[in-house]
Parts: sequence; C-alpha cells; structure tokens
Amino acid sequence: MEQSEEIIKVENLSKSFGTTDVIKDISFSVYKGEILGIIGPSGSGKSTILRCITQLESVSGGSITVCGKKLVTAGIYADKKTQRDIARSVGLVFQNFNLFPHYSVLKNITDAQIHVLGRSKEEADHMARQLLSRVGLSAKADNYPCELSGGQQQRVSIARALAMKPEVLLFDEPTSALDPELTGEILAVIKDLAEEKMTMVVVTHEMAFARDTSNHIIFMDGGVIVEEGDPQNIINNPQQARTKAFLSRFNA
Amino acid sequence: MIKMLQAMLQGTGTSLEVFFITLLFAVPLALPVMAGRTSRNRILSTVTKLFLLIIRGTPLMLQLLVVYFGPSLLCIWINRKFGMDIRITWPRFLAANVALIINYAAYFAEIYRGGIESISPGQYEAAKVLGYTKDQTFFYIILPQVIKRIIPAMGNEVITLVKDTALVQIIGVSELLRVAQETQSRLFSFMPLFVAGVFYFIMNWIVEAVFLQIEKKLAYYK
Repeated sequence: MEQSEEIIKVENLSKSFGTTDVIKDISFSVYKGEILGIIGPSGSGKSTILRCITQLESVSGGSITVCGKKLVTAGIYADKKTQRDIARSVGLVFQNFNLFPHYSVLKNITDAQIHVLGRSKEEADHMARQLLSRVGLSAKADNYPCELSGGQQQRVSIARALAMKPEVLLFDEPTSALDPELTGEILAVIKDLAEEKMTMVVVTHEMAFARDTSNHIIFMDGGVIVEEGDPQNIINNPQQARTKAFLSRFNA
Repeated sequence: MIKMLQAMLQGTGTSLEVFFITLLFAVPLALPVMAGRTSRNRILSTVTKLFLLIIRGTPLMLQLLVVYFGPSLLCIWINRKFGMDIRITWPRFLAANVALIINYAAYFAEIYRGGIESISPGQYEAAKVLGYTKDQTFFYIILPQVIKRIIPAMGNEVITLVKDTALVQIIGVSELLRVAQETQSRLFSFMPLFVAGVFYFIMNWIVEAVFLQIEKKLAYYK
C-alpha cells in the first residue's frame, strides 16, 4: 500500500470536551482503496474521530488532511471554502441512519445531488435508481423511510452517501441500531463496496466482519491507539493486555 | 328578525377581519420573535424573554386597553411635563389588530421554538455532511418537519383566536358578541346571544376542518 495515494491523514489529533480528553494525540492514514477498521470499547473515542474528519466536531489540536487538502493544520482550520471542498469528498453513514423522513426514498438520494452538486433532476434520478438497485431496494423508491425496516433504511442512507461520489466513506457503527438478522444485509453492502475498492473507514463492534473485510485495524481505548496492524493478527492474536481483554469476549 | 341577523352578520364580518388580519401578520412576525428568543446574543434573548413573559403573563384585555389608550395617555403626560400640545389617537380597529398581533406572535413564537427544538440533531448533521448550506438545511430539511409537528398546537391557538376576537369590544370595536349584546338588550331576547354562540361555533368548526385537512395532507410520513 506504500505507493498508494493517501486519502486521509490524521496527525497528532486531540479532542477534548471541557476537561475530558476524548482523543489524545492520535495519528493514522487511510490509503486509496483501503478499508480501515476501528474497534474498541464504547467511549474510547472511535466515533469522535469520524466526527472530527466530517467536521461535525472541531478538533482541539493536531492536523487532518483529506485527499492532499489540509483541513486542519496544528489545530488551525483552513478557510471556509476549503472546508466545504473537503466535506464534499467525505461521506458518512450514521448509526441511526438520519434519513429525511419527509422525503421519499428516491428524494432522500436525489435532493442533495440537485441542491448541493447542482446535478439535473434526470441525472440525479438516474444515479439514485442505479444505487437503489445496487443496494437491492429498487422497489422501494417511492416509499417513505418510516415504511422501511431498519436495515433497509441503513441501505438507503448508504446509497444517499454514495450518490455524492465521495472519495472516502466513513461508517459510524452502521449496524449497532439493528438486530442481528438485519446486520448481515448492511455488512453485505459494505463487502460489495470493498470489492469495488471503495476507500472506507468502518467503526464497528462486529469483530468477525472487521477481521474479514478490513485491510488494517486500529484498536482504541481511552482515546489512544492501543494496538494496530493486520486484521487477522489483531483479532486472533492480540499482543497488548487491553486488546486481549477486550477481544476475549469475541474469541470464545 | 332579519334586521337582527343583518346586524349580527356585520359584526361577524368585523370579527373575521380581526381574525384574518391577526393571523396574516402574527404568523410571520413570530419567526423573528423566535429567532430573538433562541439567539446566542444574551441581550437580545433576554429582551425577548422579558417581552414573552409580559405578553403571556398579562390579560389580553389589558393589552388591548394599553395599546389603544397608551399613546394618548403618554401624550397627556408629555404635554404636562414639557408644556406641549401633541395629540395622538388612533383608530380602534387598528389598535385592536395591533394588540392581537403582538399577543399571538408571542404564543406562535413559542410554538415554533418547541417545533424546532424537537427536531433531532441528527437531521442537521446528515444535512451538513451532505453539504447543504445552513439556509438549505433550514428550508428543505428542518422547516417542513417543523410545520408538521406544530400543526396541532397551532390549531389550538387559532381556535382560541376566533374566540379572543370577542375581546376587542373592550375598546369599542363592534364585533359579533358586542352586536349580539346590544341587540339582546334592545329586543329583550336571549335569541341574539344564542345566534352569536352558533356563529362562533360554526367558525371554529371550519377552522378545525381546515386543520384536520392539513394534518391529513402531512400524514404521509411519521
């Protein structure tokens, strides 16, 4: 992966809420076509990292570079235009889907294309229908989110994010709000994207999935990276005591 | 009998004018009031809070009296103090509308605020990540959901407004109830009051039907 293009570069990132340090001096990179899995206990700062990269939270210190563009340099943000440019190349899939309830499934996927990217309605429609068939929901285009199951809603939200043609797609515990039966359909979509070499960062509690799908795994605890490396090694043969303790429940 | 009905229909006309004028101005005016209330500017939000406290904490009838008589009383005070001779009197009908608009804008503003605060932060976050601007987020994503949520509360207020138009008679506007009372004492009959009651009831019946229709229209999503 060394020769590959760096899509996300995080250097010495820190974030505190008041006096609580949620992320302490974290650095990592995501390369084009790579899938980074981030695992760790609740409250370890996994989601906060994604929220910093997507500009939903502002960092307390450190640097973030996306596709070669500096979003933050040593805690100082780039100008508004650069921030917007960078936001467009990053997609995020939420734990709770956050679909727009007053829009049909189709409009959920077309609206931002039209209003943000300035695509024509025909273009946006075409793109949306293509993506819907890809996530297996062509028949639901005219339904409203409240008429769909959780798994279907999450698939729509993935399609909505993909419609913006992001350089990298971030997943914030995409299956945590779903029951085990529905979890599978989301993981299948992500695996499908992985085969097409979509660059992704997946924060997840699905250890088997993280092991089998990602190229690189980060284990976080208490706002720091405790251990990182090859997925098979980390999950099946962790070195650090903290990682062993965390994974002991999954490796039974 | 026909004369009585004619007079009462005229009164109803006045009531309806007050009703529609109040609605027409209070609905938009409540937006800046709400913006002031939720503003991060401490002074602005404190002033707005004080305004809401006074308007919602005092009788509407008192507010009508203050709006109508206030300016002329102020003139008398100024004239005495500075030896001037200013006179301001304004039309009763206008004063009645101004008082009702101010009062209802206060209530509407709080309903709007409740509606906006009930929208989950996730909606704003999803919009931001997709690249919507702040204005786009408000008008495309937030506002339509707010409207749906505030419809029942707004229905309540609008029904109350129909009945509150009866209060403007305190400053001498001949609305329906006042006409009914006058006719009652002239004819020495209970009939006019009964008819007035039926008129108010019919007006509110229509208001309720309209709101039910709007609710039905917006029921396509949860």
